[in-house]
Amino acid sequence: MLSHILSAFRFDVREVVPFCQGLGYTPADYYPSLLTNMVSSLVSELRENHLNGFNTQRRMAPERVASLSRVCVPLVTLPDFEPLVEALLTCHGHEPQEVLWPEFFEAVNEAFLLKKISLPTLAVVSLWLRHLPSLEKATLHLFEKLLSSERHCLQRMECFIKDSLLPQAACHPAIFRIVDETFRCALLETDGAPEVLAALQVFTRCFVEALEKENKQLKFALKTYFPYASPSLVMVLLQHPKGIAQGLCCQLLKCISEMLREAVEGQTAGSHRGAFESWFLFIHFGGWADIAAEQLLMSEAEPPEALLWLLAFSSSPHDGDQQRAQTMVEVKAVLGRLGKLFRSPTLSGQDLQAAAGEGREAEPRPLVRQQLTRRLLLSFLLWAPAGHAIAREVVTLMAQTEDITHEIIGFLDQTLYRWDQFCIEAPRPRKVARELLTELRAGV
Amino acid sequence: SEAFARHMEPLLQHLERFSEVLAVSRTTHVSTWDPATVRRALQWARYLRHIHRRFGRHGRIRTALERRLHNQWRQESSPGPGPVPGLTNFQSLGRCDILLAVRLLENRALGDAACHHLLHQLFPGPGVRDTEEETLQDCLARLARRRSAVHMLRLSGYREEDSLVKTQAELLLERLQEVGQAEAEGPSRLLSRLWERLPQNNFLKVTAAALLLPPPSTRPQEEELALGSPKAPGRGRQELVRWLLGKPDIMVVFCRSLPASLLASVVGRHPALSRVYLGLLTDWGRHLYYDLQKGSWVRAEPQDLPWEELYDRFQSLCQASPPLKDEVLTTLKSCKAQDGDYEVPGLSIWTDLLLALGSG
Repeated sequence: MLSHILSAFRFDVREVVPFCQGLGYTPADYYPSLLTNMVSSLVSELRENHLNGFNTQRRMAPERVASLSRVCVPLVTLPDFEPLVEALLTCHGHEPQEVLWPEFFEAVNEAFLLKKISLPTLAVVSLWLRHLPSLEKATLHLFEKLLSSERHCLQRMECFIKDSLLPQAACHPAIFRIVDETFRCALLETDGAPEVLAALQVFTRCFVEALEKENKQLKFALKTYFPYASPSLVMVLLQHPKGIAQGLCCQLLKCISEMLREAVEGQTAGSHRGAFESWFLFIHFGGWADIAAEQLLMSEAEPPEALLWLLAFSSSPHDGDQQRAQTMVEVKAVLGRLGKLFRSPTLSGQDLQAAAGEGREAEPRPLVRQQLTRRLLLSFLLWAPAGHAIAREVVTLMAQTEDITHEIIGFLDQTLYRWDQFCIEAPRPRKVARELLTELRAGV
Repeated sequence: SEAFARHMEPLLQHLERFSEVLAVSRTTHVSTWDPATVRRALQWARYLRHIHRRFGRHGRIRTALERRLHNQWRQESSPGPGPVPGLTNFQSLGRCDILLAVRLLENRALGDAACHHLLHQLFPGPGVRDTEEETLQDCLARLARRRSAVHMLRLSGYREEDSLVKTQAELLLERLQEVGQAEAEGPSRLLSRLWERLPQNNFLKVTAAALLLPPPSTRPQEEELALGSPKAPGRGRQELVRWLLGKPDIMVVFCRSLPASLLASVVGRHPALSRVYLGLLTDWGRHLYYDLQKGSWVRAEPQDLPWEELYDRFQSLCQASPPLKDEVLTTLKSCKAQDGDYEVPGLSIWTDLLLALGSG
């Protein structure tokens, strides 16, 4: 490194030295200026190339662009080079093949991921579109970050996701499809790990936000992002539940449920792939399932079949008809018992445990149904007027294993995040949820 | 007051001695330096930087130092190719350690032991940096990277001519502005000195480029360049025009040796120069005579401007925007009228020029 520095100082641009020194300037003054000017002249040459293509006289030959990108490899992190890096990425020549060196893309991507360079979104998008390995690397980099440190804080997860520029870049369908594919693989490999589910939901939220920001009129049809789904279902799912009236909300949920059911049951018998695809689409917008649970809990009417189905499907897509029907029956029973307690002025932990049906059956219930019951119970604690007083007691009873504790933390965090997203006014439930969350986190 | 002067004297002497060290640092004399000399020189530099930080807001001390620096620069740079200064103003004191370090790093005459010591002092490695060292070290490392970048771009076949000239032009304007603030005659003296000492062709190109730079300096500010003076290159350009107008001999060389299109753009921006340029062109036109045998306009003396070049220059001017173009055509037409307003070719050079330009 020292000998590099020394040799850098012993090179000179002979043409400028006498003049600049005659003016009393030192290399520390004129090298930065010289570099700035060299970079800006290259940038304007590239822009001209880009705009005028073959017609320009000063056309930069593809070989020159290539060699320029190669020279840049060790220099991309030099701030003076940022405009040149940007121009190389965004100015396409008119060659059918990629002229930039793969090492250039790799170096820029690396520098971007390590935050050693700041580039406009457009340039980053261009980088990922032109060099898929870089996009894959960026996606995996984000995954690693999310799953290693931020698994239980969606707020921070959101910051990381936005910071990665991937949601903005995903407005380009080609990029969306690759990121989405990575999520799909992660879900399949982890058998639907809750943190991957949470990350996908936050990512989708950020992506929809970026999409709305980019243009009110969709530049690309929704079909290009979700090619296997029915466009009308995607349209409904995309609706922001914020500001939708109670009654209408229930209508929408029924509608979603029916469309999904049609898609799932319309498949030839035993087609897991179809069920999985429908489920994968739905859990992008997983907030709807939680809204369904809250609706079911708080409505005094007979629980609608469609909402029960939605809940059962979202928690276990691979179930056969019979299993699902069984889940729906159980959920309905739990809801019935909880409904009776909802308005009661005083409650005890035992009441609730009895309502949840724990210890009723001889053999243990499937894991998924247990989870579903816990979710309903937690929602109950947050929303029932008398639930607050016994919330801590019940949660302590519930959190018997580390896995269950993490599950509860995840649920509370997700609920708070959803309320924030959808601007749900719920000061009391919010307070309880936050307190429980703090306590549980401290105990982990 | 006397007390103030007594107080200042050691400081000013220190400054003078450091300037000497700085002057020596780029000569072959450094071959006699040992590690101790290097260390001492760097210590002096740090002390001066400390002075810069300490007295930056202290008006009297600052002025006294500044005056001494200014006088020094003038003395050093008056006759002969003497040592090139680096300490030109108070701000430059703030980075005199970088200045010294760069000069020593550049100097191949520095012995191995001294050089090794210098590198060790400048880049002590991780763990032994204090905040002050950090800035110097980072600054030098960044400068090294930039210099390498310049060389790598050049090695890759980058056509740097324009950037080289533009950089020199920007620095010229900056310095003119600064010198002009200190002293009214400063710019013209500086320009004349540069003209005498530097390769003329490069100087003229730089001058033309400086006259063409856009009025508001769009160049991003570099921290190394933040000399603290307000940048107003507009004034530097006016100084350049004034100087050219006051030096007819140089103006002739300027208009004679630069390419036609470049001159047309320059005089298009500076009407005062366009009048002189047109005057010179008509003068040169009068030196040509019509060779009946060859059927063309030829030079009387070898130093005269040939017809092709004269035509080229007028043509470039006619491609300029209306006021200049109109002025040029009016001049040509009035010259033609003075010659007798002939319409036949071969009698008056102005008739022929106008015909060739398609405005006959």
